[in-house]
Amino acid sequence: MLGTSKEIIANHVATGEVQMIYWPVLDIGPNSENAAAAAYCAGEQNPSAFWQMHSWLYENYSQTYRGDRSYFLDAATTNGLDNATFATCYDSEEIRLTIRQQDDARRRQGIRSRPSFDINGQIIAGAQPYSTFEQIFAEAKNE
Amino acid sequence: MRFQKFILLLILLLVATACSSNDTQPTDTQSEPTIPSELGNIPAGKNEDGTFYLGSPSADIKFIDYSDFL
Repeated sequence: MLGTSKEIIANHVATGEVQMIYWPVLDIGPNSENAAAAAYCAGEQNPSAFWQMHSWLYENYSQTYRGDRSYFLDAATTNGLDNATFATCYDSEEIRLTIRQQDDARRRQGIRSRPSFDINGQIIAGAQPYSTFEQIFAEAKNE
Repeated sequence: MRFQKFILLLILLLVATACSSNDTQPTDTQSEPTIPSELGNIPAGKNEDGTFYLGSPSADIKFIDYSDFL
């Protein structure tokens, strides 16, 4: 989603046409949750920082896959966050419970593919090229 | 005399090193997150269900991205 999300943000979110919402999927071991916790804890400090961390984690996905606790704390430093506040959040059960509940809700909705997208109620399963999203956005605008 | 000069130089070197290390210590470890240019001034926030959004709340199209970062 890295490449397409940047294009969608630049060409459709920044224009006010699209609002993007991130919904966590916890399918690939403990770092699915750890990475989501890192993004959510960034967002707790500043919602824009959630999206900053979102981009950073995607850009560094191969290291994110293997990263340990110190990797995610270093990510907070790299992204200019308050380290102590971030660490408290990252280690808290509360943020992880929120993420797990959202993942459970996703499963209950029958969304199984990773990634999947909901565009005004239309579910798209699997990664898509940017052109597919452009077409769906154009159709949604005409409805 | 030569030994005294050596000791004096050593003391000066230690003092200079100490001052130098003080100069490089960060005075403030907290700073505002640096927002990437592509995010600019796009509205961002948190929904009641705890998810995060980017973009105008009045946008015509709601785009939910179900994914992870791996």
